[in-house]
Amino acid sequence: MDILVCMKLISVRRFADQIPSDSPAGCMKNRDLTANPADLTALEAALRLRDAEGSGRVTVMAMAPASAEPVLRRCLAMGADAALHLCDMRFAGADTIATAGALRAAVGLLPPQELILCGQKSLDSSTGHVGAQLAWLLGRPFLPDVLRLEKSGAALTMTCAADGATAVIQAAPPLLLSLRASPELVRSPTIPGLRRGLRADIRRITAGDLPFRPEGSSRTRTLTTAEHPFPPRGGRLLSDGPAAAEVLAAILKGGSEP
Amino acid sequence: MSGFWLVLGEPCPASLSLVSACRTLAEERGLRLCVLRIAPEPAPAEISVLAAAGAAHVVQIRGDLGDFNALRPVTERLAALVRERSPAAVIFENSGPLAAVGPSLAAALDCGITADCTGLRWDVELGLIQIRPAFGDWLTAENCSLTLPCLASVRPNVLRGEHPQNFSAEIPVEMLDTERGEAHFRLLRLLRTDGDEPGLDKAELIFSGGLGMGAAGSFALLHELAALTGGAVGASRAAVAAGLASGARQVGQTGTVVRPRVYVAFGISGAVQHMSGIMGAGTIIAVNTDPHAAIRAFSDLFICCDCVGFAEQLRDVLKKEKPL
Repeated sequence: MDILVCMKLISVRRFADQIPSDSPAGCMKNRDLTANPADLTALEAALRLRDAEGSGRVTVMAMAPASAEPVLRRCLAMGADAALHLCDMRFAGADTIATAGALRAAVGLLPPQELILCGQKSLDSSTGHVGAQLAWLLGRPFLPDVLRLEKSGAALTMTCAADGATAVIQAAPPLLLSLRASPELVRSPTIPGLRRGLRADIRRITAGDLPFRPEGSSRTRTLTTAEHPFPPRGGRLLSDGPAAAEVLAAILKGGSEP
Repeated sequence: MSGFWLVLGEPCPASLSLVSACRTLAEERGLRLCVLRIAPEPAPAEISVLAAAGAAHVVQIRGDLGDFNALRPVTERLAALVRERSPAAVIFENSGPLAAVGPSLAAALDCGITADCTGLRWDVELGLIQIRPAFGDWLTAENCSLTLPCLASVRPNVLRGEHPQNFSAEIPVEMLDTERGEAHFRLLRLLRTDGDEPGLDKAELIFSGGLGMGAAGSFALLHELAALTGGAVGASRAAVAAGLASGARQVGQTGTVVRPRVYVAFGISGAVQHMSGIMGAGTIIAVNTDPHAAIRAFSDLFICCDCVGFAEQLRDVLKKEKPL
């Protein structure tokens, strides 16, 4: 089974600027882009499926600036078979619809992929929309909120979070699934993997390679952004024990804080 | 008169307050608020409740979003309705199974959509401005749509209007069917994990456990608190990673961003990723043995003690007040 994993790269520069160089996290200062955690969960799920099956290819696809290349190489080092890099200034600033449109066009360049996996939400904008939109544009059955994924015969069994319940669902490919970020461990690159990752060719795709015009494809515009660091709330100490339990019970019932 | 549409699943108290907020927004532009309710069966009793909250028109769309095959036919029905009636805006309550309908509709109509808004307001030139958080709740962005209708999903429990107001109970009601979807997905098992607990995104009260809760068994105590108060149980990423709670309960940036009236954190240290998911809570109360836990500065009240023992005390107080 050939599996395509869509990966979003998150810019951490906004936060990295606030890290002093001499702090233990100082090495993060030079970091620009990092892989979205839920997308790494999707990659791990894809690699496990491939390894269990013993056949098929896992391709990673990202629409990201040139500086994303090390992250894609790391995905190759983890075990992905190929990487596709949609890299063109004309893709910059794409909203979810424009992103889904470009990804759909890029999927058309690949041999048929039985399974397409996305992370459910990105760490930065967390819309959870691109997976659903890509599925719609490709005309594929779509399932969000997937927590686990297993092969069962020709079909796949998905465990999903559904409104107050966990659903176990079976379906046969072709499918598009969005996976929730999982705290389960994502594998690290191996030494042979790193060697392969460093040598591999990453397929660069520009807007000109796609039957899709990125210009004017965004349907929303961001007008302003403003930062809101968490306001401290004081953390007033309440004596422990039954008295505190009484106070808390009153607050839970709608009483105001004493 | 053009329409301002609000798409709901099964309405809960939070949705009614959203209906009222949308009525106000609609009236500011002389638009008529139409509530589209997507549910397996029509519920005539709900009409008067929706009307009282501000709906000027209700369209009941028969569709079971709990069935994973219904996404496409429901979206197609909505897209046909939008093309036929050209509403000015279509707002989705971003909750549960409805979450995938908004983006799918946007793709079907080739329209923009803004996700998970925490505010909406009109601008004379740009139309409906959509205010949404990003990077957890670290950033706020303001978006506008470049296409019509303006599509947006709103975070549950955030836009709150006054209700009931004295709106007419006599409103037009329509009933629309949807096609049955192709049966791609087959449900093997549905494991009810929460009993009657509300979803984390809609809960007014949340009891969350972290590693400090120690063992999976102690989460049963949190469920008891939830049952006694009508709240929901959440968990930190660390607790989920340790197998104390299922991933569906994870609160925070990579889990569910919540906005309850009261958030009680039991044995949660307060990692940034967790805190950014709870910043919208009304009152944050942390229970932790470590007086220097990071969560303290970001909580309103801090109780420094063993969280399991405290949860037991709280349960006993709640039980005494409300015998089961």
